[in-house]
Amino acid sequence: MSEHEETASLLGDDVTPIEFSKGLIGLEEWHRFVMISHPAGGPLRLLKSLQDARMSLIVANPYQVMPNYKLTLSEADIQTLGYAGPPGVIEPNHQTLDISCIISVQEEPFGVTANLLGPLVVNKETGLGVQVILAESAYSARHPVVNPASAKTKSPVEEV
Amino acid sequence: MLVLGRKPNESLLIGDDIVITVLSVEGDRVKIGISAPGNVRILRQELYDAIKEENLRATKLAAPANEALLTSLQDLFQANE
Repeated sequence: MSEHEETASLLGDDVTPIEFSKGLIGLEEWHRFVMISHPAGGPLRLLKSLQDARMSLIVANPYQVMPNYKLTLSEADIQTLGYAGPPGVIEPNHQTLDISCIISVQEEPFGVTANLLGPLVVNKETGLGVQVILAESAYSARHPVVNPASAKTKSPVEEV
Repeated sequence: MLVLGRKPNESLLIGDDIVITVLSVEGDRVKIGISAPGNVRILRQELYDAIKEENLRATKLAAPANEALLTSLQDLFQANE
């Protein structure tokens, strides 16, 4: 059984492979991923490597993290995505482009951050993905999603 | 690394279509103008480094526990809506 089959059978639903031809920034050796929704639903998804079962990233919808979030694609980005549309600002809930941002968790003090500076864009028609760098924006790579001081939820890291 | 000395308003050519011009030098700040085709990515190194660091952190922390972590975090995001 290949790793892909294994991942697909674990998750039980139809998973379309995504090719990040340039890899993710700093993680250039991983190209092939699947984007998985949680069986129980919810706004977060898992971007899982098809090359290494241990390698995965949690992603969120950046428009949920920041309602007025603005993503601009460069000419280089649309080429990588094989996207036919013009470069420029991409509207939320785009028909063809799936936009997400990587979530990371700090344990001490507990905090959840979203990388709004380097969002992920996947062209659903071509199955190609790219990590965009919004160089002209003032977005942070560590945008706080939950203020540790106000978070009443117990650290999920401890429960794992 | 190739090292070249340039004065304000002097330029460098890289390949056929990239021109780098030193616009001004004031104290420890150098203002640089870059003219390049639209498909050439130009970035401040810090931005690239910040994203790289976050990617590595997100992967390392999440690696073994991601699916359980995901379940727990869903609630935080739902509460956040």
